[in-house]
Amino acid sequence: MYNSLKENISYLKQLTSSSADFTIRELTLSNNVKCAVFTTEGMSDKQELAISVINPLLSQHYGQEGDELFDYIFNNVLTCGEIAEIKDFDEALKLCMSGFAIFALDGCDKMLSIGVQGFAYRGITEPESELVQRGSREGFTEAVRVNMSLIRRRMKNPALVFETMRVGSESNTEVSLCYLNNKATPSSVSEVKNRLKACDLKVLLGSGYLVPYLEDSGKNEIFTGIGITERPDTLCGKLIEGRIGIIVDGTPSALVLPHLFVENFQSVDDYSNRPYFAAIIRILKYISYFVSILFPALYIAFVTFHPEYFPSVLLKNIQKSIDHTPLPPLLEVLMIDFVYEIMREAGLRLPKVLGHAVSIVGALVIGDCAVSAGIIGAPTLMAVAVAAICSYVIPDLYPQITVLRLSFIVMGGILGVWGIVMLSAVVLIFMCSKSTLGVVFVSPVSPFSKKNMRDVFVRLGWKKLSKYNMNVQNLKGGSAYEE
Amino acid sequence: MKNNRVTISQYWLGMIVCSFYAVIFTDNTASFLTLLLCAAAVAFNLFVERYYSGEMSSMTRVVLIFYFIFVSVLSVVRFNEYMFKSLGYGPYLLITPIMLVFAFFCAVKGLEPVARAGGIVLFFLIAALVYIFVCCFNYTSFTVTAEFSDNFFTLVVLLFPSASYVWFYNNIIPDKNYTKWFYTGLTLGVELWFMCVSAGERGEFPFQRVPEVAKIGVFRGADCMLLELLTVGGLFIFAAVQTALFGNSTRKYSSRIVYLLFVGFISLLCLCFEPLRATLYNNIFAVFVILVFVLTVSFEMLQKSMNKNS
Repeated sequence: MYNSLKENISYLKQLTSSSADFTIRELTLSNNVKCAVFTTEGMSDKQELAISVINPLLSQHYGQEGDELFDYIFNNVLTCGEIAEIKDFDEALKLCMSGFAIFALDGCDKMLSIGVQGFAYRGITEPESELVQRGSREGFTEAVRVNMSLIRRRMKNPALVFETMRVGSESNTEVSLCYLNNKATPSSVSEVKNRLKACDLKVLLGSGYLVPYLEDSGKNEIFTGIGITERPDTLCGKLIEGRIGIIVDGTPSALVLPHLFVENFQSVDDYSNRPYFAAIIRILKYISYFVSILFPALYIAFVTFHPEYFPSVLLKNIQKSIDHTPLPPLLEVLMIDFVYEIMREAGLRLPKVLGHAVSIVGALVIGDCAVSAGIIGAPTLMAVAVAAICSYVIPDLYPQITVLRLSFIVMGGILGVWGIVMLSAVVLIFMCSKSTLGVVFVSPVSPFSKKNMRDVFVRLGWKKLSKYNMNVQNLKGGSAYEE
Repeated sequence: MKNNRVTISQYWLGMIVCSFYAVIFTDNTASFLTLLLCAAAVAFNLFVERYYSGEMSSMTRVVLIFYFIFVSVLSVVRFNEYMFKSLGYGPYLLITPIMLVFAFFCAVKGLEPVARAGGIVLFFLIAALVYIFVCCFNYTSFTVTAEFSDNFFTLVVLLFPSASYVWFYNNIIPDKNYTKWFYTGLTLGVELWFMCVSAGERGEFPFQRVPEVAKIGVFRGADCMLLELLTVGGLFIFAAVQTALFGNSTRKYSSRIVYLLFVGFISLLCLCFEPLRATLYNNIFAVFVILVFVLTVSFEMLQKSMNKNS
């Protein structure tokens, strides 16, 4: 930085290409020393700026100059709670664009960043994807600092640590790492930090961009070892188990790692409801998962290769429907599945007022008319519909379920049950070979850990659950596990 | 150490994978093939231990990959023969693809992920076992009814010996924990009970019967049981001999040689009983299995001696 205020102003203007939202308020202090305050339009709170910065600066009488005056202003004049000294233009610009006011004094080669952020952001609302019946209605917002406060409010623990960094060479997006330093291992924290630093993205617009950089293998696999949550209470529950959370500015969700497969079947309501009911719902979710993936494929396999397994009455009906439809069962299932995916995608993009129209089109046109016209068979339609409904029980796994369902349908249609079982074994092995930060994806089921199975297929009561605190880093098979 | 993370399920998988081959191919040389496949299981375990000790011979891996591919082709051919059967080929549909995939990925991804997958599959198998047992148990005569699926019965009787084999191969030596001995005794007791039940269904006593051409699954299951019993019983003897002669380590090279000799002896014994009655189809497979077994052991021994000299 320069000693001369004019040169600093000129350089900053040059760096920002005199952007219209980059504002400079030049002031003359009582001892005729010039200073300036730089802000970004819309990012700072103007009222706070006036009360904490402009007014105190102008109402004081000064006898000092240069660095002495700078220190006096730093320590005695500005009334804002967050002030820090900065010595380079890059840092000054980043902070200015984050809502800080930058104070520069003539005759001094350093500046002050003053926390007067006041940008507009969406209020705290209920998360749309993780709806619960009895839990909190607060979800993350796009502002990383607000999200940090939501977590801190629920975890008033000095062990909770936030570490911020910037990712994206062009966007300089603020990313915050959060963990409990008495639960997460230092090696896993430093590994996550290294992976974030090694991220070579130019622009980071969403937390999903970071997922491939955080995975152990770096390949695009079907299942991911990085979880996503929109709920601060869920994140706090995972932090206590030794996981690490990552909050990205501009994304109303947090990444959590390591993420286990069994967590996809857990929800906040499980811990609010009675254990027996939570157990029923969990088992229902597991059954729904298998039905959504395997039901159409098994239907195709049995119809095509093993019709002798059907009871005779059912077999007659299926045979009748196959005889009256033009396409082979495999193509029929693929076609119905394809049309269903189109309708689902259309329903997502349409305004809500038109959602009813899509439902009617789907039910009447496809469901009723296509069957009546003999284009598709009713049993085939039912198989795909049941699978589709079951897939909504576990929304976190919807992408994986969609891909796997299609794969199983193809395998079932070509190789029958033999092919389905073979593909199941392949998928199982890929799941078992996956790990994140050294934690096996399919633990605690395999390697089996009896203590940690308390919250997998069923949920024990809180009195029993609280006796043993699970730490994901200590699961069997993990790199940190010791016999 | 990496070996500490490999759980007991790795050996479960090794033994079960190879033992279940007997389910596919036990058409007329059940006993012979089961023993040969047990020998293959030993080779498989050697491969496992070598892999995790970081001294795996690359030639061993190549041979085993070809072995698994060959078995895959054979099993597909075999499967086609049963494609249109209406009953009792459940394991052909369920077990064959699982173990083929597991075997292939053992060579590709290593045993640890496959062992984890094996543990999950075993969970489902045990659940299926319980279900089938409950459904087919005759509560008046305390026997398994005739409706009990032949092939799932075979699955049952193969499961327990496999589990016991793995269990005390990993845990019993040199531990003098009586709980583990009790578990093994219980396993053997259950197996004997199933054998008696099976014999009672047919009015025969299995120990007096030389393994014959098996036409139905129950018969096949009894053959498998008999030879599995021999293997498990033999392992008891082996465990005692090894502990007495070689001390506490199960990974000592000399102790493995003893085990190999034991299995080889059993194989020869069965060969004498069923010299050349198998079809050419099964003979090719049997010869290939023996070849694989010999090759893998030879490569391992060669590797060991090379390491010693270097």
